[in-house]
Amino acid sequence: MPNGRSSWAGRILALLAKDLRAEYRTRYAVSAVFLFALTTLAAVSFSLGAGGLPAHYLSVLFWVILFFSALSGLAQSFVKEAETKTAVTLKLAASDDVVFFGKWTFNLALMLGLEIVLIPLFLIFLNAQLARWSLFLSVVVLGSLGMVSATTLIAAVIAAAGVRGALFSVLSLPVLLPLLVPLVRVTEICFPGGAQGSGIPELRLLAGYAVVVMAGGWLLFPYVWRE
Amino acid sequence: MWWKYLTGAAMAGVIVAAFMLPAPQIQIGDASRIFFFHVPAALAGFVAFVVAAVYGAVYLKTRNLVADRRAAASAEVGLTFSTIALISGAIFANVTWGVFWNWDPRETTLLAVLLVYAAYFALRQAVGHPSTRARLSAVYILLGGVAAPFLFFVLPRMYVSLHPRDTLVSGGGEFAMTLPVGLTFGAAMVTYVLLYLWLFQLADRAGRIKEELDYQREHVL
Amino acid sequence: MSSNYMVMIVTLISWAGLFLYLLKVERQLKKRERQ
Repeated sequence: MPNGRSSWAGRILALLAKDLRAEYRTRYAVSAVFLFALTTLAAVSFSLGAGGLPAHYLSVLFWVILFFSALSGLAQSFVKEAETKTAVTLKLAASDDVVFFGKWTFNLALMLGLEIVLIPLFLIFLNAQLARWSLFLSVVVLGSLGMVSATTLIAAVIAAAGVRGALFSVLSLPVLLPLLVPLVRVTEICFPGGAQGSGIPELRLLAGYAVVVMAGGWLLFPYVWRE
Repeated sequence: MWWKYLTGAAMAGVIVAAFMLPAPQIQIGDASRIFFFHVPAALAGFVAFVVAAVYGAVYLKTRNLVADRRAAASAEVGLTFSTIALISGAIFANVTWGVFWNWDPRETTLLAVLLVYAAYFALRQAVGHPSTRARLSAVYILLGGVAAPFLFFVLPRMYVSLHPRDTLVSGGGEFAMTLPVGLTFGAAMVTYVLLYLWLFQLADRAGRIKEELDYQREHVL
Repeated sequence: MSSNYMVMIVTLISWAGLFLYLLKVERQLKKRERQ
């Protein structure tokens, strides 16, 4: 796989490519995530969608669907390695940083892929409009960065603990709560009739969270990955 | 040892002062006395968190299981103080504003800390092997330690916050920080931290005895 | 007898109870540690 000359970024992309290929063959994480999102969206839509919902309902529903869909698929990246016993090979083949950022990028790709599909469907099925597109997209991207940073490390922890998925949600929620509250609040601003505000302080908060948690995850990862 | 008796006496003194002094916040009245008990409990919960995280880091560096035992002991005590702080805060919120919970940054931080503690113990319970358990729980509490307090440093002005000190900032109620009130409050903070240290020491000693009993059970019998 | 006064008494008694309990735990631990 990597020779002495391949760059750090190159190796991360190679790991990402491997994971995407493996995922393409089984489609396990992708199926779980999309199925969950679409089912939840459908349920919300047929019970609530007809009238058009207030901004704060739309905001929280969007993030609830997104969070739980993502949680059903984000543990996959490490648990799969443990299950198929490829973890040992990976530890030999790539450095800790490459593994962490490779998995991180895979998770980010999964989340962004989900969002690309979910956002239009969400607007259609709930008869919603966005008043502020650029703020909304910024919020979604920053929120995804934060979520992925936290959950990549936690996925590694539960894979090392040898436990199944339920613990993943238990461990993720406390860490994600400080992200979720500002996220829902600022998304409300993006829908017509929602609270007022520029959203800039919240964006800074979300960016700060993403940076801090990514740095923390990266520094702590070797202690999880290695004995 | 002497400081434990001091803690006993000091706490009694704080209780008397908290109820006998004029109520700190005039508009709210007697309910504001909870200030002397709720804030120090939250402080103790946060101190316990920092101590647990530090011991976690110590474990990761030294791989000495004593550090892990101490981290768990501190977390146990911290969970108790945080729960007390959360419940007292909710009662105060209900008495003062009619709602138990408001999701302001301070409240959310306390809740996040409490949830990290709970998740920490869930993780520990799920892992059987001592060194793996120590390693993973140390990593988790350090991650939690980075993420959970995040909102605490958020400017209260960012969100309309009902938390008393924040109300003071926006010109709400008058919080009378007179000398007796300030002294009592300071004494309460110190006393709660001393109580935390006492409980932490008890939990650690109990943990060590349990380890020895487990060891004897496996190797002697 | 204001309610304020009564709450104080209840709190003091609760604390006294907790304090004595902690002393009891101390004694028990010391006993086990000596074994």
